[in-house]
Amino acid sequence: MRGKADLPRPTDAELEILTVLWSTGPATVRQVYETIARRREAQYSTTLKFMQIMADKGLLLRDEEQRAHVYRAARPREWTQQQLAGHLLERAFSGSARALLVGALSAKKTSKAELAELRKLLDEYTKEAK
Amino acid sequence: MSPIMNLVDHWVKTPAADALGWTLVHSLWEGAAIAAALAVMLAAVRSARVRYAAACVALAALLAGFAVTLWHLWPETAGLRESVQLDLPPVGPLAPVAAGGEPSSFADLLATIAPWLAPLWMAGVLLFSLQSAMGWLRLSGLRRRGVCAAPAAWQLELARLKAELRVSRPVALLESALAETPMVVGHLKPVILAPLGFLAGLPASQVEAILLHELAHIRRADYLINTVQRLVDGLLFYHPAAWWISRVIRTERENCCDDAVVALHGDAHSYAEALTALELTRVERAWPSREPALAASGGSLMRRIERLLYPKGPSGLWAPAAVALVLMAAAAMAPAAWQGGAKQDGGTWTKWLNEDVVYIITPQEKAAFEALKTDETRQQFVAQFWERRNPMPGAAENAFKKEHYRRIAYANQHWRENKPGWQTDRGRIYIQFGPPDEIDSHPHSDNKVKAPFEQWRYRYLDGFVDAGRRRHVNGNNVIFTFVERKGAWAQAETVQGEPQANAKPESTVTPSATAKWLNEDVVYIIQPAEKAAFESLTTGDERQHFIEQFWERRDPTPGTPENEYKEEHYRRMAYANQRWTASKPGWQTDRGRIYIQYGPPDEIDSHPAGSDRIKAPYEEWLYRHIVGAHGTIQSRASFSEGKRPDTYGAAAFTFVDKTGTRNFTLENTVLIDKQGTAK
Repeated sequence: MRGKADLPRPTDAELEILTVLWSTGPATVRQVYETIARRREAQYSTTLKFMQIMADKGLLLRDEEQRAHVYRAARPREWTQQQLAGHLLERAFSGSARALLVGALSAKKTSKAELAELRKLLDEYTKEAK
Repeated sequence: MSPIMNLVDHWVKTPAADALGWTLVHSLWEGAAIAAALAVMLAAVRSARVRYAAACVALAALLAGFAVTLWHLWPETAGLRESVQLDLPPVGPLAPVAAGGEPSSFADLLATIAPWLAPLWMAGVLLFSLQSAMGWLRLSGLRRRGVCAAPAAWQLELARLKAELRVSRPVALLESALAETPMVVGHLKPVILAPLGFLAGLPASQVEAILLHELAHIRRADYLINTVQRLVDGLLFYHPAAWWISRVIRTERENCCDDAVVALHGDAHSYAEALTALELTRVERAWPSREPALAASGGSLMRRIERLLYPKGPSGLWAPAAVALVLMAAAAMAPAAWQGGAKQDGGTWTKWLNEDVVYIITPQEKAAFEALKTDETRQQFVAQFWERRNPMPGAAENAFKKEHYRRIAYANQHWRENKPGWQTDRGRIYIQFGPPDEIDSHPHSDNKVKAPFEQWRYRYLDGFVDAGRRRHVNGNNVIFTFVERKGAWAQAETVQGEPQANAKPESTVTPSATAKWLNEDVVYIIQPAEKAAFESLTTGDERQHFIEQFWERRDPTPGTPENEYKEEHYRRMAYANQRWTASKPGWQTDRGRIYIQYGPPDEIDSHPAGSDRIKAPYEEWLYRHIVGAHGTIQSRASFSEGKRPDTYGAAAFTFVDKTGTRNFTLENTVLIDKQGTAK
């Protein structure tokens, strides 16, 4: 089993396949291809080739018990995040990306202490409502 | 210094840098006022949409104020505004102090710093823009990299929610391996990025609420507005008011979307639970991040949830009254705050009259101007005023006007006391007469004068007022003395080469002044006999006496103090210099000479493009009744020397511009004597 440091940085196409697997869990090539095809034009054969290469690189693990091989990601998604965030340029400008971010939550994370307080607040509210 | 520092140093001295620096300074108080108004507004209004709009307007107002101030102070547009105001920034430009090196007041300190703010600001904007550009690139990349389509069930759900919220734009829902939190990216083809595990990891109703929040952002075009906001933040990166207003915008933006979700579903509590649950998943995921977590209390999520659970009702009747009051106060303050910049219309003309041209406008012109009633006529008057003084009419630039304002700026820069430079005595003399030929500076007193003083010498002056407020037509070798008393420089005595009641002739008639008088002032009117006599004199006193007598002989009214002949002679010289100075001074040109000798012609026939007779630009001057000159004129006829003035009939002079260089040479002269014979 290769050490964590040895796994190469995934390319864009590889990252997409990894994303599908992280989302749906272990899947066959056909299942992965169909997910990808929902978003963009894709070829089954291309997907197959990529996944085989990724298995050789160690990014994917292949279960060959069934006739249709089942692939799964070799590492959890957090590992990839770490890898990518380790890239100097990404880290340097992540703050500026946050500033442009529009979403449900603010860019900064809440502390555990505050989360506990929030929990209390919500519980009190539920009690009062009853 | 490195080349870049040289470049920066050079640029900082330009008026553009000055204008930009002062704009930055002004933006500080402008922003403070706008922020104060917004604060009052926020205290009074509860609705998130109104608060958001108000904050956006406030930020836009800050930017607009910046732009307007900059336009107002910019050097070129100052000229465009008809130059009816002095184009100086509200506090003077870099003002070197007369003695010592310390700025004498806060205003002077500001004036020194202001131009340097400009390059600092530009550097800051550049850095900020780079950072923003990189961030924007990264964010845009997120919609392509590490994404896959969300499950079909959720796509359907999204379509339903879109319909509920009436969002018409096509929206894609993608799962992202790189996004930490659900987010919207893009404006024209927006994408909702759901972090892996979000869609499946929370109860469906909570996922719906979050998706609604994102869709609300899309409906309100928040991604685009936020990007623009970020650009403005870059320009105003230094301004604390801008930081605050920007934060208000971001807060209220989220509040608006929260309100949209609650309005649709009605259950604020479950939505609050959804937000908290979402945040929990993010925190628990131990996402690698260098960002410190927010403090235990007062964090933004806490405030949002409190707002959702315990909304505050409307603030009562005093709120609209307070808002109205603030708006009225702002409207009243704005004109007062602009005192340093824009002026009321009436003030503009008064300023032009009493500041810009006070030293160069004649009493007749002034009376005529004051009689005008409309801005249009005044505008015309101003244009004609400058045109009359234009040494080269028809040229693109009015050199007189340009030089006049240059002198005003110079005076303001060098002789500021407790009043602006142009109001001081030295400033006045400088503006009226330009740089002196010599300056004799005595920063420490000497034996005669017990205080620091300066003496300015002008070899030839055309009309001036001395310290005794007496007006003189002209002077040779005029010396102005300025003495410093109690920090102010005042014009003390004026001494000039021409003999006057209390002048000191010994000190002024130098050989060079004499030569000038002989070869320039009177060259066309002195008779050869007179000239020979003058040149034989050796002492300054004798020459002084001769000059007095010379003018005395020509004075048409010997009993009166004024010598009308002499006045008219110097007026003609000045006019010739003003009108026909090209490659040589006007008095040396042919037209200048004829004008000085005979005065203004009765008719001028001007052919700027030539005619059949003469194939070059030419002018014909007609004198119906010419009085013979005391000197000689180049013509076929010549006057006898030493005779009293003869009277001729008409004379016509033709000046032709043979070389096309606006040098008109006298080509033909026709004299018709009393008998009617042409010569």
